[in-house]
Amino acid sequence: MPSVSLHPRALSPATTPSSASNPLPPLLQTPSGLAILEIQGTINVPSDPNQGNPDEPLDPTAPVFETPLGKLLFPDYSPQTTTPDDTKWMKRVYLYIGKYQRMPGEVKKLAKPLAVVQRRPQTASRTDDGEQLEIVEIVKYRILFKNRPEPVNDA
Amino acid sequence: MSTQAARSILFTHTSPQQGYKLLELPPELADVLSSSDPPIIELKSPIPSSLDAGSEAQDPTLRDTVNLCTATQTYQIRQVQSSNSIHIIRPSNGADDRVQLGDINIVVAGEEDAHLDLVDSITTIAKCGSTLELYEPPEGFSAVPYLLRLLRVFDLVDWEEGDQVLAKLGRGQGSSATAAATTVIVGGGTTYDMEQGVVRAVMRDVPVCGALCERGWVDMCAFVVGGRAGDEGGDWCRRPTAGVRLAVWKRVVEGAVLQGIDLEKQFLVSDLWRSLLDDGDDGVEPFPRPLFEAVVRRVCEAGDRAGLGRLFREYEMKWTSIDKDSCVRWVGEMYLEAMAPSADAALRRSDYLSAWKDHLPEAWREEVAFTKLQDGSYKYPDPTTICFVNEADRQKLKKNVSTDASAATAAKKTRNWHELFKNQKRQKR
Repeated sequence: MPSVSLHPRALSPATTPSSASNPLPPLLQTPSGLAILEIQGTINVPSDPNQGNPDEPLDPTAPVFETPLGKLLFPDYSPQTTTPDDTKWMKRVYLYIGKYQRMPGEVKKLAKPLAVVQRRPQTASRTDDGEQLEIVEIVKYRILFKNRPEPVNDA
Repeated sequence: MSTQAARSILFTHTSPQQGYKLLELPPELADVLSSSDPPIIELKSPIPSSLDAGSEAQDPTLRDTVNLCTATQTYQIRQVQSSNSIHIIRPSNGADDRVQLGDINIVVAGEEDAHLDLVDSITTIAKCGSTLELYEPPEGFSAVPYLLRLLRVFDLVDWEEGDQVLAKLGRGQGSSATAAATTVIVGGGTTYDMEQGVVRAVMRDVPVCGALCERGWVDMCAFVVGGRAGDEGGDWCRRPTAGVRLAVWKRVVEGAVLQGIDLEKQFLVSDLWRSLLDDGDDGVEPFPRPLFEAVVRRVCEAGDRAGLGRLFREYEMKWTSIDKDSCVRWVGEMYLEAMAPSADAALRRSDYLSAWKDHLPEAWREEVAFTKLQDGSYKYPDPTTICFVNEADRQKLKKNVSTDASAATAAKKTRNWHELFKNQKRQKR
């Protein structure tokens, strides 16, 4: 059928594990916990033989594992002292990759908000409805690293 | 350094990654979606044109695209590649169970009290190399090209010879079933619902928003001839030729004069319909009643012609009145389309004006003037004649107009490749 529905809300909204508190500054927090981080270049992760087509729905039984890449730092932001209307902290964000590289970046408001869209998971009760999409979250800010990494000396 | 107070957040990569797409929202759409009762949006694409390639392949308005449609807004979706990688991240409790501590030590070696700081972690769960952008072309959208393709033409010959579909339903010319069936439609009930179903089925295949679908449908006086529950629409709908519409309208004017109905004031649609039935023919219908209603709907007064609901909520027409200005224009253009569709068949302008007047109620004759016609709907092939310019040619003209110098300079400044190469693509064609 040439018409596909895009639902404005996700069927099962929370994608954040409930035990994880959101460590990002409140400005970047969204109800679902999703945020956007943009990097000039790519992060090379060893390819996973089990990695299927990313468009396919996730197999819930597949093992999920996380590979540490580095750390993210908001040097001018402190939950205790930064007031909500203070935006100076947005000018500086660091992303450390491994031990010796640091990328300077900033938090930017998106010119147009971005909707994060996914396929609506098929449930047993509705399998013949055809493809349906849903908006998981609308994100208004992004963390942008538009510069190359700079070397850091930890000595 | 002020980093003392700041917390470090462990950044990880989750595998397998999830499939997400990012869709850029124009402000008005973002507002609607953030409201407490957001609507479901449709992504519509035309029926693959490979089925009937050929003439459509040349028509750029029918090229394969996906449009995003709310009830009243249409946007074309286009994919914008980004040289950056855009990661979708979310908080994770991965540090608790999935990541080995040894790994963290690699990452944060050299940092004091690292373990305390790095209880928090975020993880990238998807990477997008492109975003979807919503674009409104300057020439806008129209349902008309799609409806022209989906709906079968209805000529008066069809009615006189008994249209196949009508015959199958026992609603052929003159049969008593005709009157019964049409009464059911007007009176509501299952047939009415069925008819709505047929219209909606057709609209699903028209990749523009509901308001434009409806406007196109009303503008071309399309109507439903029958249908069964669950049928896919197109076969059950007809679009009358300009000649048919003109004949129906002429009959409407004659009937109104005969029965003294003032079309500009409120009248009962069923009274007008009765006025058309010839006494001599035992109430034989000159054309299907849904066609008559489609014509009346086209010219009747409505606050907002683009608005929704004329086709569905107010479908059962009872009282109405006709909007003089738009009706005069409609009749003029329709006559031109029926009688002078191309430059070869151009009419003499004085003949045209008097024929136009003859198709209007007596009181409206003075309204006739070339300025009433919509810009671009007609042209003068030579100094004394006039002929019609069809929709497709009008679209082409419109597009050429929009390729002006200012658009070109604006395109040069943008980093969007769609804008950057738009003009070159056009020249090639």
